[in-house]
Amino acid sequence: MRIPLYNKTGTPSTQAKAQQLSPRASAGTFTQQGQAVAQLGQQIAKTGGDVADKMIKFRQQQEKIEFDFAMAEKEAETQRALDEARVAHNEQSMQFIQDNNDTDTTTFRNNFEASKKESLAAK
Amino acid sequence: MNPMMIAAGASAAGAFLGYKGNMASARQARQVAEYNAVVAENEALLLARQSRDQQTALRQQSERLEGSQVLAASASGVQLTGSPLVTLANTYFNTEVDAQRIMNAGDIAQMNKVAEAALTRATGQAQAAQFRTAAYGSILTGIGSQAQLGIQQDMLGQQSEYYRRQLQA
Repeated sequence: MRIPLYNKTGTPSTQAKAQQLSPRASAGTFTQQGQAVAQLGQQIAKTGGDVADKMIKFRQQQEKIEFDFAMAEKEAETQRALDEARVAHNEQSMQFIQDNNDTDTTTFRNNFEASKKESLAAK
Repeated sequence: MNPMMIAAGASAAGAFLGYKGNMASARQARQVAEYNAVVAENEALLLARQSRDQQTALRQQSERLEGSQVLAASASGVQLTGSPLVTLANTYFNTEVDAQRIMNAGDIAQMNKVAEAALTRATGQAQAAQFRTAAYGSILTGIGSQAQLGIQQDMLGQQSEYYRRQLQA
């Protein structure tokens, strides 16, 4: 009968290895939800900011257009008043000349200036 | 509707959600790291148990082998001296050597798992810190947007005042 020898009888010599025995949780997967909320917040802030920015720019343009219109109207009104004053002055001058009986230029000039001052003072 | 109200609401909501989302991510990263670290620590315990079981199995098997060897030697009528004794001694010492190897390998595997647990916790803390920084960044971004829109609003007001004075002049 043969004597059985060590290492020829299937004696285990296995070594424990540092393998993974359990599944690991993925940090990426579990942090995704929070990141999605953060991204939603960013999107809301961006959209709100864009809308507000556009509204401010719209108001700036609106005010510019209103200002330009008001300035044009003001200039037109000024011009109209100026034209009216000029016409009135011309008519008054013509009337003065028609009604004038002065015989020398110095007297005429003095009377004309006095009439002009009187007319301006009346207005 | 006042654009400043819209911007204030949107940036406040954005900052709040950004802060909450990033803080939730930080908490999740920390919890995931803690979970993984605990799993690694449990694995270290399992490996210790496995190593101990392997040693026990080896010793039991060796005892059976020794018994077989003694039986075989006795059955053949020889005394347990000389070569049969050497064979028995060989079994005994080899068993010890293998048991030590198993124990050593088990220790290394356990140390790996302990290190893995520590590394996992450190990684989780780093990720959590990153998310916390992003959370504070969200609030700062919100304040920055608010300030920028405030400046725009001021400029709009100044422009309006300029137009008003120009028209009155």
